[in-house]
Amino acid sequence: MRGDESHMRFADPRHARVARHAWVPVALLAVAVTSCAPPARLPPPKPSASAASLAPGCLPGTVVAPRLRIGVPSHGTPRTLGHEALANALSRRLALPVEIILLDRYDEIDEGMANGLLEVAMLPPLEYVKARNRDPCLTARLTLVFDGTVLYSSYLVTRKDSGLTGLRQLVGHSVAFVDQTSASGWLFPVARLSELSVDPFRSLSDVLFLGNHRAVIEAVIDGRATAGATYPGALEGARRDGLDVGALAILGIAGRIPHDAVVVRPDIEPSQARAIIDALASLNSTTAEGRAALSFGEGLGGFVPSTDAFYDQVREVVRQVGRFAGGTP
Amino acid sequence: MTLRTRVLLLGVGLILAANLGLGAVMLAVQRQQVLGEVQLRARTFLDVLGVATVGPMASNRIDALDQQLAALIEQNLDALDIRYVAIVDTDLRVLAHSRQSLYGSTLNDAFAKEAAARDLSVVRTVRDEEGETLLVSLPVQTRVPDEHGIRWGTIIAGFGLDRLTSALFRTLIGSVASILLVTLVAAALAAAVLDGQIVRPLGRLTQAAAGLAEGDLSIRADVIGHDEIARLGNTFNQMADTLERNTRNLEDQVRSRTSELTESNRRLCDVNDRLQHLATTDGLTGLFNFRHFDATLRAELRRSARLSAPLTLLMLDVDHFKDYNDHCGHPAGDDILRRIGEILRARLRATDVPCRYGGEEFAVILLDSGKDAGLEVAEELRQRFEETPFAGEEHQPEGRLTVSIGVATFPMDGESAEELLRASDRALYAAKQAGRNRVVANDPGVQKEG
Repeated sequence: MRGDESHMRFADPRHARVARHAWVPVALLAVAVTSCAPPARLPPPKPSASAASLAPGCLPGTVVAPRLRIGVPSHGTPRTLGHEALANALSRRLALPVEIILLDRYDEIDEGMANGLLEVAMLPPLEYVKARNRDPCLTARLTLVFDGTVLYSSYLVTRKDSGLTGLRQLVGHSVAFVDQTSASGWLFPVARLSELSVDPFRSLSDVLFLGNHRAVIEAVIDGRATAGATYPGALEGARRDGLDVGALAILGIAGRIPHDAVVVRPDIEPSQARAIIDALASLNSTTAEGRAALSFGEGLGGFVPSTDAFYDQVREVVRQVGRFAGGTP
Repeated sequence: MTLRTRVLLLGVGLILAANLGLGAVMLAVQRQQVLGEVQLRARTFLDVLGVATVGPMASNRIDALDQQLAALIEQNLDALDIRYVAIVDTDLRVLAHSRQSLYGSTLNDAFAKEAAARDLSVVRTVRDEEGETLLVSLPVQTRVPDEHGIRWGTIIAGFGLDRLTSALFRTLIGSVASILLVTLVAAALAAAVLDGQIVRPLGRLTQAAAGLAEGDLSIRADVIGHDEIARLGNTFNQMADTLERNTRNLEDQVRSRTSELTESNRRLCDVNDRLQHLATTDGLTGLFNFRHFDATLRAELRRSARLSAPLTLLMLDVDHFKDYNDHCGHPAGDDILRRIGEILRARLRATDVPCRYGGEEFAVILLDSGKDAGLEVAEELRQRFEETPFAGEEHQPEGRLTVSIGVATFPMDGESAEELLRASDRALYAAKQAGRNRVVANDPGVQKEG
């Protein structure tokens, strides 16, 4: 479910090692994300209770969906009973047919929302920011809660016997990342390193993109990389799976990252959108029904009302990385 | 109670009151500060516990809750005097508790219910059998800033305040005692300085004032220094100088006036004596005059009547005195009258009363004297006149100057002045009729007849 574990395009070990110049398109993408002003498609609406969740310049939707299709990143995992439990719980609450659609690529989610094939989508933070830039009327209505929190951190870990004690000492060493779209596995660590004047493509001896957090952790434990970027949940999962996580030490922490955002297609009629959000928010781990419905995500405890502003910190990091990339050939 | 004692008692009293008041205020203020500090620590403890437990609570990992709770309590037990910590779900069912026996039970006390109903931390102070306890709650929830979130449960904790309060009280008592000791020493020093600078000088001044009040105008206060009390002493001495000077002047004036008054009084007495003498004395003969005679006779008659004592009255008249005056002149007659006065004063007792009754007539009151004694005195007086040579008496019909005397005695010849005078006057008349130069006693029979 984590955005950091998404983008299975890079899950294949064949894509693990990339050249330094792979940074350039990512940087350009970041610049485009940060510099893209939202189009003024609609005149400013009058404030109203029903329009409270509307982005500026967006009119309330008018479409009443006869069924509810929720796009969820698959993260390479198969459909589980948890997905079905979620669909059933929502269907009971909304009196609508509910379908959970697992999608492997985020652009498929974007396309589904744009083409009216999805009514609701769950987007990792970086993907949400990009989607919002493409459609300013798309607003985060809920944020997923994992392990009781709506935020998580990015860790840069190393082996305890590496002799490293600080991030600045990574200069001249190899570092493993997830991929260029991962918040905790790339974006936030790079922003943190840039603050310390550590250029990932000039200062590091090698940059590894390993596609997922498990591979990053394994690479550090095996010694194929001096350090790696991941997040606490991935470390806990690796520990439960028997990896020697105890051999690792946290070299540095990079930022606090919001969990995935839940968005409703902007043309959905507000009262129905409200009902969908309320139905999702009513599911949490304090009830047996909630625990069953949320079991498709490891550590998922529920959904809490959110705002677009909650993801400003992600935009800020994107802005930082874009400026840093601007100086990179 | 002396000024020194009052000042010392007042000073010590003020210091004690100030220290007690200050101590009470300090205790209240410091208790509030400590309470605020304890609240802050308790809130921080609960915040840390909340961060540590929100994950396990959200994922129903109760065993992790117990571990987190045990670890944090162990770390903070001494610093916070933790009485209990409970982690409850939204139905107040205990998920973890510092008292293992309460696991799975449901809290139903008022504070727990209030804590579960509020979205914010609740702080209360209660007193129960365990002592004073600070109750703090923290809602365990997950939310995006400014939005509603998921309430997983509540952490409720009780923190003992008695240990902190006792420590605070002991510290405060020590502080107040130290301050009190220092201030008492300072008060003693101040009292000593006060004694030397104020009380003793005032005592000297009071002593001098007392001496002055008792009349010692020469006494002066000892003046040391130039302060206010010294100025008071100087002023007192100036006042004493003025008082002494004025008193001396007044005494001199009084003495002078007294002397003048004494002299004036003496002169007045002399004048009074002279006036008295002139009022009672005949100016020619020096004998008592008629007024004195009359008053004396009446007074002595009353006295004689009261004492049953006799009194004899002699009425004396110079024989043929008109002839003497006609022949020798009135100055010579006056001289005869003066000689008669001398003869009477020479012969009579000091207690007898000789008077010039009028013209050449004289009266003599013989006190405590009966008729016989009166006749004897009268005869002796007659003989002395007869034997005394007078200038120009040879021209008298008898060849010499003689007197006739009538004698009347109280009470047989008269009991009043008028009766006695009439009786003596009758006897004198009888002596004249009998040939003059003789003494005739009043005849009571004649009186009766008359």
